[in-house]
Amino acid sequence: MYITRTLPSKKRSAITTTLGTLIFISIMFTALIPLQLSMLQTDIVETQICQDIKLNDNEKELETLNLVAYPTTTTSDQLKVRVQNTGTLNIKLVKIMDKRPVFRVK
Amino acid sequence: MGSLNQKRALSSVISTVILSAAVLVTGGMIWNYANGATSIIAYDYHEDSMKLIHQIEERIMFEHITNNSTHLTIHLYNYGDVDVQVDVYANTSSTDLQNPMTVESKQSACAVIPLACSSGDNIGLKIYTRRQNIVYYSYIAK
Repeated sequence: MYITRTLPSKKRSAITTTLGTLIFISIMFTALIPLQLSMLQTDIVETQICQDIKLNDNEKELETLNLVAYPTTTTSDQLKVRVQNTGTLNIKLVKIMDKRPVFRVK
Repeated sequence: MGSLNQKRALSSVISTVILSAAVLVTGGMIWNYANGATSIIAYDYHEDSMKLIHQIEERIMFEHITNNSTHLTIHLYNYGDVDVQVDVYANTSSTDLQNPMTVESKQSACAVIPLACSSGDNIGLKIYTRRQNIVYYSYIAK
């Protein structure tokens, strides 16, 4: 015949459990959540830049110009350049090139 | 009896202190490691994303090409938002001696390739960027 003795249960203060929980929470708030936020921010910026690039490419395809160049007089060595924007978007001219020189547009 | 009770209480306190210290030390190490690891992960993620964005942002074009019997002169224009490092090739083998050349954003650059060509020759031009983008152009020599 076996007799099982039960020890009287002691009250434990659970200090280490509390400390462990606090440490876990502090890790969550100082490491993991900032990481998630940082990655989310990077993704948002990336998406925004990709959309801007797509928009620029689409606008570039929509750009259409007609260009006519002619001398100012029959004896002049100067050219008059007429540029007509036949598209629907506003266009900013960066430069006009002849075969050799490059004329910057102000 | 009184002294025995006091001894028991003291050992209990000591053990609690030791256990708490162990938990604090271990927790501090884990916290430190987690902080460092997440910082590195966030930095690497940002860097990789920026590299990808720069790769997507690259825009370069052939602006103007001229030739004589010995050389091909190629003007490039970078109309993207990032500086680009390029290698320029003509007919896949001839290349500019300045390769790789850097073309800054919104700027032009000129590549001179030693290549014997006569009028009517069809020359295949390629720009290889260091971010693995390629631009092709077919030029007929004058």
